[in-house]
Amino acid sequence: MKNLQPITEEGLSRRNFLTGAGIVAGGVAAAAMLPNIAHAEESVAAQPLPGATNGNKLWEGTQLALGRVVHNPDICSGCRTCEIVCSTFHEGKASSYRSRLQWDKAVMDACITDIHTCRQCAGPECVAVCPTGALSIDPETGARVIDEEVCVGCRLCEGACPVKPSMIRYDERTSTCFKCDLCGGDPQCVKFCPTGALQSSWDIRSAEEEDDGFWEIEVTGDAKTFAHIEKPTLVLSDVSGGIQFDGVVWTSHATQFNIIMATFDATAEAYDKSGNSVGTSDSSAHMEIPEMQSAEFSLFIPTSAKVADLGHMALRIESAYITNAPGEEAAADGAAQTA
Amino acid sequence: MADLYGYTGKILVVDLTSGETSTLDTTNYTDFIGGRGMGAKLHWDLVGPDVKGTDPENVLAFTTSPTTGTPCPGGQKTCVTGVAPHMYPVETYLKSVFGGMWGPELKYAGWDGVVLKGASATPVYILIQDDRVEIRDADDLWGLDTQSTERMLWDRFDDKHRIVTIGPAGENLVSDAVILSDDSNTAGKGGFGAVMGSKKVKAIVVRGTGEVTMARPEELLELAYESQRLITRKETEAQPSHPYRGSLFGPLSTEGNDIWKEGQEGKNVRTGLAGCMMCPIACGMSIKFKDGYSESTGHIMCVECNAEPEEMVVENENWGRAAFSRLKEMDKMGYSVWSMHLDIWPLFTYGVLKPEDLEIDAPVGSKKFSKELVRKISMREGLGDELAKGRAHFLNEFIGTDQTKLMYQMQAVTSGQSRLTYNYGANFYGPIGWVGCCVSRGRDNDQTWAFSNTITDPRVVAPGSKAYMQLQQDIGNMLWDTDQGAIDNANRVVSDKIAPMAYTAHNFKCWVDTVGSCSQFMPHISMYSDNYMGKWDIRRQLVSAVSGLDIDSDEKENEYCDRIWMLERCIGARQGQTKEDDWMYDCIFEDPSYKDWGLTREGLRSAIDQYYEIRGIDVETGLPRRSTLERLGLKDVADRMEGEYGIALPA
Ligand code: SF4
Ligand code: SF4
Ligand code: SF4
Ligand code: SF4
Repeated sequence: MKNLQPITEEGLSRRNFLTGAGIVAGGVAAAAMLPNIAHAEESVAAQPLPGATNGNKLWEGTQLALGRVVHNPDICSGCRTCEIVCSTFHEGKASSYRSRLQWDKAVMDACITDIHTCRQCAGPECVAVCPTGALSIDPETGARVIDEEVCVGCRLCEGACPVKPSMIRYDERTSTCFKCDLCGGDPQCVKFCPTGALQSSWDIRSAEEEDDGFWEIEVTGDAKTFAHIEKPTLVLSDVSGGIQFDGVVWTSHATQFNIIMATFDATAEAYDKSGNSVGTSDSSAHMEIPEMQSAEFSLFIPTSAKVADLGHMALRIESAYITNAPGEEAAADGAAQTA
Repeated sequence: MADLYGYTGKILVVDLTSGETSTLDTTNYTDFIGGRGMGAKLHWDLVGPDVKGTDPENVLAFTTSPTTGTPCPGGQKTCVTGVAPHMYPVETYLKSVFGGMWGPELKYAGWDGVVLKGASATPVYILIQDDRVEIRDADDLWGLDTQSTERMLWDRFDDKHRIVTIGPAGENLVSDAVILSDDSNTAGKGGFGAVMGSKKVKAIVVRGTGEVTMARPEELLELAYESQRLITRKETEAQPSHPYRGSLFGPLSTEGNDIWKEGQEGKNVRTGLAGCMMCPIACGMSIKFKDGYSESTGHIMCVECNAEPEEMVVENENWGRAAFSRLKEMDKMGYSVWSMHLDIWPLFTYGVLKPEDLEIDAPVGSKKFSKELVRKISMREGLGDELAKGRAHFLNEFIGTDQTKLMYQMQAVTSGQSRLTYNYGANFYGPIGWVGCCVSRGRDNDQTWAFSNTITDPRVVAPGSKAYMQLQQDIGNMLWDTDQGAIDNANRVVSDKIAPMAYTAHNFKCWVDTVGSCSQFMPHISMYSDNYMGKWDIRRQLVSAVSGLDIDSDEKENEYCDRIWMLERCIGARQGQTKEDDWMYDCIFEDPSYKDWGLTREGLRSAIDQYYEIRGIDVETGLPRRSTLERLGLKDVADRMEGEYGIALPA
């Protein structure tokens, strides 16, 4: 198993240690591969997807997008590489006007830059409103895309998009609208962002097998704030009455987490080598990680099985948000957290 | 005509005397690529030799390069050229650059450059929105500090407009006045703020909705990605202990500085990066305190834009609130931080001046003192009026004792204002730095930086370490087929290997300035590859992918740089620059405080003569040879030198 990189002396002495306590229990057990959608209402999903969160039946069965491009203003340098790469990739020309994402740089306010990206809504109002069928869902990526050949430039979609500024852009020269198409599944803005402020939400969320095939780690929630979490390092040990996870996570920013024990299919958390459930737990850990520090956590599964028996185990980080910056966004996430 | 890629094709000329605008065809300037080269050509064409910085006849040119506005990392800077009021004793031609986002916006608006001619009778600002160009009344802006000016303009238009502006220092023709863009990117050398002030132009506001074309956009994206990866890693990939997380410097998290401490004390600061357009390095820092006060430093690695204020050092402020507020005062007034740091503060620390002399009722080092000092100079109040003429004038003419003249000469070595001075790195960089006094244009104290950038990078490899020397030798082997020059330089031996290295370094700097690159953008030195060796060719491959220009070898790159360098030399020559100017003050050879340099007159002479030979400059006169100019396609320049200015060029 990969070891966590050395951290500073300071960091070590400041590690948080906590033991799992059932804080958020509901909506966890049946967590699916694509969280936040099926269980949005019960879970602490911090990334509301318009149309899905309000229980709108209209969107049932609508193909979900691979995810979206998310932005962390805390490490964004405002370099606008993302913006110009977007137009260069699509049009072969460098143009701020033709960028599918939009930027706001508060030059007089510590240069804090926001990058606005399309949410690839679960219930895409833009698609619903388009009278020509120019706006559709790309079957490969699930991205909500505009066929500019078909678009008549009525701009209904632009007005329908719930995001401000609208994630549909209108080109006066071609009289058509254009929008983010996730670059066919490989977002160029993410690839080129030099600081890592832009991320593909699905990259952050995806589960990864560790070398020994023992773990799966899934990160869910408002992916925006996950940009700087290192994959947790986990150690399992046999303790009296069960098995204990000890883990360490690192973040670059003061962050709150819910670490939730969960599996990818229904009830059990731990499986033996033949795939039989050996233990369950709905306990979760809620903790804060100071800026540039690591934090330790520990969770317990009551089981008679031993570590050596286990074949598969899953840990899921349910949600996180930055506690001390920047202003509004953090507050909004916080609201989602406690709701 | 072949398709023009990278360029928009036209340069805007604003004649402030007549209030009329016209355009120049960029194709007449593409032999000089852009930036520093294009600026030199515009100056050569449009200005005569006997012009002073603040004369209406001076032309202030803002030039971009083909890569400006494209996703080319390190190709976004704007160059400012003209006769510089800061220079002493002769006001000579100079260039200064600034980063940020103004240049790219100008390109999107459809212009490769802006040329300001003549002078307006009343204050104006220039509005450029794509093809729409207006000269507008600026009565209500005149007198405001830079920040208020920008706020007013952003209120009037929207904050997607990019602005360059001057502060009170520029309006009052202070010779250390800067042109400032956005938060605090400045063209700081030469006092170009005063040139803008003399033309009564308070600001140039730009918004563009157009596009910049590229010859091979896909290749450009590949090269851009590759060069980015040579320089930096995303914060998300880096490890907590990694020094270069996210950017070259990382946000202001360096333990121990005052900002960091304030954060630790729970006062909850937000620190971040501020980068120029497309920059993978993002050398600027920004801070927001919990109480709402915010500040950004500008792009600190831009030698022309910022410095640690001397006050900070004196007052033991370590990047805290106090230091930032001092910086902000200078930004607001549009006064050069470097001039304050290197020119004015030593006058106080060496006891030439006391606060009373400027009628400032506060001790040196206090915040009030700093604020009053920069205000008095910018407003030309009392003795501030003399300081506003620059340090050289002040020590040589206003006080004018032998002692202050010597002080000027000795410290001029660190600040650089006259041709007989050059960068403070000269000592650190050894003989190659010394040859930096062979400049193509005035106050060129960045030509020694050029050396540091060409052959090594003290931030990537620790100076003095084995790897540091090894890198120099490796690059020596790559560029000159020998590492002997690097070894000689380190041992301070002036051998025949020195001049060729100086030549390459000067051309490297010329290239960087011409393609609008940043001197910190050095993909040929990489901490993410073996032995720190990156890719030397990638700089020009980027430019070629954008412009379609055929630049695939050192020879071809050098041809452009030689042409630009030699044109600058001709501009200098018609302003009276001679061989004697490629030298140093006597004190450097004689004063005991310089003896550890190991510099001798003979050593310097031999290196300079060899350098002349390499450049095609006449060793007797220091003038460009006619044959050299003709080889570089500058026959018309040679003809004009002889015909119009009566300067006989050696064959
Ligand atoms: S502007 Fe185009 S894409 Fe948008 S709703 Fe109208 S036709 Fe559809
Ligand atoms: S354009 Fe707007 S409505 Fe459509 S998917 Fe994107 S964010 Fe949702
Ligand atoms: S994912 Fe692609 S289309 Fe969407 S904003 Fe990024 S670069 Fe543009
Ligand atoms: S490329 Fe990354 S760092 Fe640059 S502006 Fe976009 S999100 Fe910010």
